[in-house]
Amino acid sequence: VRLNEDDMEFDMIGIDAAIANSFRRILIAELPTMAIEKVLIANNTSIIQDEVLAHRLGLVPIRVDPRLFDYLSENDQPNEKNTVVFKLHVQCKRGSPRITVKSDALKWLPNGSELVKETRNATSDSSSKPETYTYFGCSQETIPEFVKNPIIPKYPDIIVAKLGPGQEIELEAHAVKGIGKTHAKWSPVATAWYRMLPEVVLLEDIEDDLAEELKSKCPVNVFDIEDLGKGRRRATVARPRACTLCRECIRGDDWEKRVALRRVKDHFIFTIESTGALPPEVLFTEAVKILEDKCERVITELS
Amino acid sequence: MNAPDRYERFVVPEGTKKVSYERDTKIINAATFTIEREDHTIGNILRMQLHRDENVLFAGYKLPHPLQYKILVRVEVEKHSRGLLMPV
Repeated sequence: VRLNEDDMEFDMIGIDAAIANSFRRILIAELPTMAIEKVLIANNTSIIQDEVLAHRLGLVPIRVDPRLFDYLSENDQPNEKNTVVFKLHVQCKRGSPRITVKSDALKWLPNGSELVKETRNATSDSSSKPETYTYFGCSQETIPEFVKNPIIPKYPDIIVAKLGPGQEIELEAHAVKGIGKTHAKWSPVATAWYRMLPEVVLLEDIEDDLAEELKSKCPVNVFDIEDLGKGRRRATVARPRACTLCRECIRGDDWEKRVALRRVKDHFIFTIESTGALPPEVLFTEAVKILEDKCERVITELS
Repeated sequence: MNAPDRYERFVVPEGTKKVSYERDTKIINAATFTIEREDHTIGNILRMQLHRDENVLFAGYKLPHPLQYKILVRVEVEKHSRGLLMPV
């Protein structure tokens, strides 16, 4: 029905309520996304506490296709296949006014972490590169998708922190793949919901003055007047989809007998609002695949 | 503090089977399937599909406790018609 860059509304007819709900649940909780998980703070002299800053960074949506990455589990080392590294270095010099740190200050580091790990060996072998917190084999810039679309936060104007004069923030953030069940920051949709199509049925023929009254009652103009000829007018239901079920049309006496408000049992109007990592139609197709996988898994485990 | 780790909601630990099956002692042709690490997303769909089969007398699912991540699906069929693999 409607498709913009970030949100989508479409109809599903003929399925059961259980499947519609399952799609909604999967869209919210089980589609993987990339979000910042580990924040390595080198310097934070601002008034925002470390953990609050890390929490806020985790909630920033990142414009990157999560299907290109793998999950990072506890025993793995962070490498270019499962981590995206960002750097944030903002300083407010003394004498200059206060700075607002927005999300476009996050710079993508395609070559991996720049923070050097402190190794305890005094007799470390003189390797040319000091050890950092990630082990990137090759630069992420070489992956063709990223040449055209560098990885940046989706919305550049999200306020992350505010700095006064003399304060500085220097940190490195690692983004990993996860699903919404673990933490809501990994949910790829702002929200996703469905409603059932309202059905407005006129039990009797409503004519002339009653028809005018009915049409004026509805705040969203669901009813229309059609002319029958000979000066008689009849009310018809023109836009049931717009009906919000406010019940205004059955207020007053006797209206309950003339208008019945119901919902069509198997017609669902889905709305999906994506946070930007993936376009909503892709999100829905991925949700279908995930549902298939889950069912497959249960079936194979049964036998 | 007492909450289990969030990844426990979908990661099946080693040793436990994902799906297990127990016949009901008191009623013939009834059984309870225990599916580990699943929730309403699958449970409701399973129940709906089971209801569509005419041989099924009783089909229901529940989550015994919201902090224990498993579902119990109870099915009763008539006359031992061996109703496995319904959602296919």
